[in-house]
Amino acid sequence: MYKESYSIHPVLSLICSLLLFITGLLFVKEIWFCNYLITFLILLLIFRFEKTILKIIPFAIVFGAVMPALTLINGSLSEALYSFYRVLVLVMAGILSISIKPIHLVRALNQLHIPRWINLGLLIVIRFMQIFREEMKQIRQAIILRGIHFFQTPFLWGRAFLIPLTIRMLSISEGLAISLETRGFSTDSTGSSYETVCFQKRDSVFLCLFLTFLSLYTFMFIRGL
Amino acid sequence: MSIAIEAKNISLSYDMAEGKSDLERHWIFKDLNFQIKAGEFILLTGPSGCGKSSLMNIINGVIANLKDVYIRGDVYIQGQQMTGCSVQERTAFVGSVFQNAREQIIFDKVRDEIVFPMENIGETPQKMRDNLNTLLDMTGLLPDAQTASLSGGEKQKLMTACTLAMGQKVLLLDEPLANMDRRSAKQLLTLLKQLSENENYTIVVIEHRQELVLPHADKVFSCIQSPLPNVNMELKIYENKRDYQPYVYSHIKQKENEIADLKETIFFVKDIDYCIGERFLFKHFSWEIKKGERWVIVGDNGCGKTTMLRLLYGFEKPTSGHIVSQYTKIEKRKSIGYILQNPDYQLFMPRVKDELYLHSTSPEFVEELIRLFEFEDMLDRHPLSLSEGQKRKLGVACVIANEPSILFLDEPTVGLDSESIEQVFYSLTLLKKRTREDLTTISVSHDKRAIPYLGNKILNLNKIEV
Repeated sequence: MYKESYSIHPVLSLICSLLLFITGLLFVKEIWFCNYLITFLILLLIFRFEKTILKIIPFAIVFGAVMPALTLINGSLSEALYSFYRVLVLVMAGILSISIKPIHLVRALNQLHIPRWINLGLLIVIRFMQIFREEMKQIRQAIILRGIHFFQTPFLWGRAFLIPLTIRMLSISEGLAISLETRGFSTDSTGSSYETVCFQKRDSVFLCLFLTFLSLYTFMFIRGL
Repeated sequence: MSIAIEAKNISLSYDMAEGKSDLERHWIFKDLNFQIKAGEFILLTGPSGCGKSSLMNIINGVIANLKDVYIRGDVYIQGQQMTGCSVQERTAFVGSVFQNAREQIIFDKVRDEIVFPMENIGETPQKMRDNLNTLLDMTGLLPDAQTASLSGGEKQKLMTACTLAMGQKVLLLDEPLANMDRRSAKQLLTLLKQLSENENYTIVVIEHRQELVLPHADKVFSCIQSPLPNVNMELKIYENKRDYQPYVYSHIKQKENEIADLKETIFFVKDIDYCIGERFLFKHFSWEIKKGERWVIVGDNGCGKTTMLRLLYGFEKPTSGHIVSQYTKIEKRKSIGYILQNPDYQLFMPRVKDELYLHSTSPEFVEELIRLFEFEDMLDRHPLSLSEGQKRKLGVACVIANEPSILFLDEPTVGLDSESIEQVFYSLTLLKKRTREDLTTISVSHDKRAIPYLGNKILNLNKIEV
């Protein structure tokens, strides 16, 4: 059983995230756009996404400042405002998608008979980004240990960064491929699932409220209200 | 007793050139023949870079399917010819535990990682739960622990558990004890021995820590230098393990520094706490390190040995308390040499000699190190083309060539054969002479053989006692 008390079904989260992103970009120039954002923000707070919201705030601040500033160079104030709104749309969609636990998404997609190589490919891409961050940190520290300073010898610094990074990435890719194959992973087998990711009552309530609000704003958009 | 693994005339070469005769080609090994009976426990040993892992990867199919090599001969597992079988087809018969566990982890949580191979082979959820509980008990890992926060040894345990979860009757383990503490290593070996004796599992363990494996092994397969000029190694099989003579270190004891107590304190760890999440690694911990002292930090996997080195260097900060050092941040970076567990991070120059001479203080000393580590024939090679063992030695030599007055060594003996370990110890003696006996070393090691040579003071983080 899927027991994460404050999460939404991973497939539902993924679909809602996409819908929120697409409709958000469409509604960005409507005068009621702020109401649209606030409605879904409240919905997410009701469903206990506050920790994820806090996590994403630094990203919202940085990109919310940089993107409108860049737009202002060649555009008007209203275009900069729309640019800020687009960042907010990305943030709102991001709250839902980053709350998805990769393993739950893989298992849920598996239950929907999506081929395992697609699910696991997705999982490895997510995992690889995390590994990439960790590796960069390790390499930067190794550079310090070898006494290389960017400002004194930038070429050497670049070499000391890029060569180990490339080698590590190749080595990790090979390690992951071998690890998958020797642990019985195959593109043509269906396998089984340790946990069943179920659609729960709270998912139904979330879906109903989400669709109701989305339909309302879509209706307003179509009617030009 | 039935035959579990049979090799018939297997040969391996990384020389892919077409049209070469057998005499012209350079072979890692050539025409190897051996049989391993079901239920046998084999120790496969030999010098670093001789081809032990390659031999294992021929049996499990990794080399034939995933790498470009010239390979000949047949492998049979439980009577089935494996030539032409994919890695995945072979996993029905043979389970493999590889080195570099860190690179093989896919999932965030321990539970998901162990369950993954069982999901692949279509086990029922109930069977998965039962196996999971058994393996968690065996390894002492927590199901909800984050894989990223596990220590090197814990990651190795996790990957071993993943292989055992699949239940194949033939298990190949490549340095499974490399980063493991002694207690965990003994637990794992006892379990493997039980599987071989009671459930007829065939176990092949590649390991440099022979003193741990030998009591459990039935036979020893030793890789030795081949007498043929174009062949790297051949296999000597000791049917009776008592006939096998493990390498014995010569006595390179470092001269003890008796006046250390009178010397100045270089690090003072003052009542520190350090926690990861809600778990305390150190609580109210204090420690004083004086110039010229040689410390070895020991303790179980995950007790915080590497973290302690990182705290002293300044890569991590204690949750509370202070680490006082007589050095400023810049002086610290100049005075401390830090040998990492994985040399891949520290090697980046185009040739071995460029790597050794980079920031070196004395060309004569570098030449001495080249002779000691036997790098003469590989000075113009790319560092990353060397074998794992050679890379590790190069990593050590590069740091020592800078003549640091304080040396941090994080598991310096992992993956090295006995002869190479002795070279590392001797390089420390040379460095000590160069620094006029003022060299301070702080080492982390699980290797009981190495501890007396690495230091004369032990910090046991299991008991937090000095």
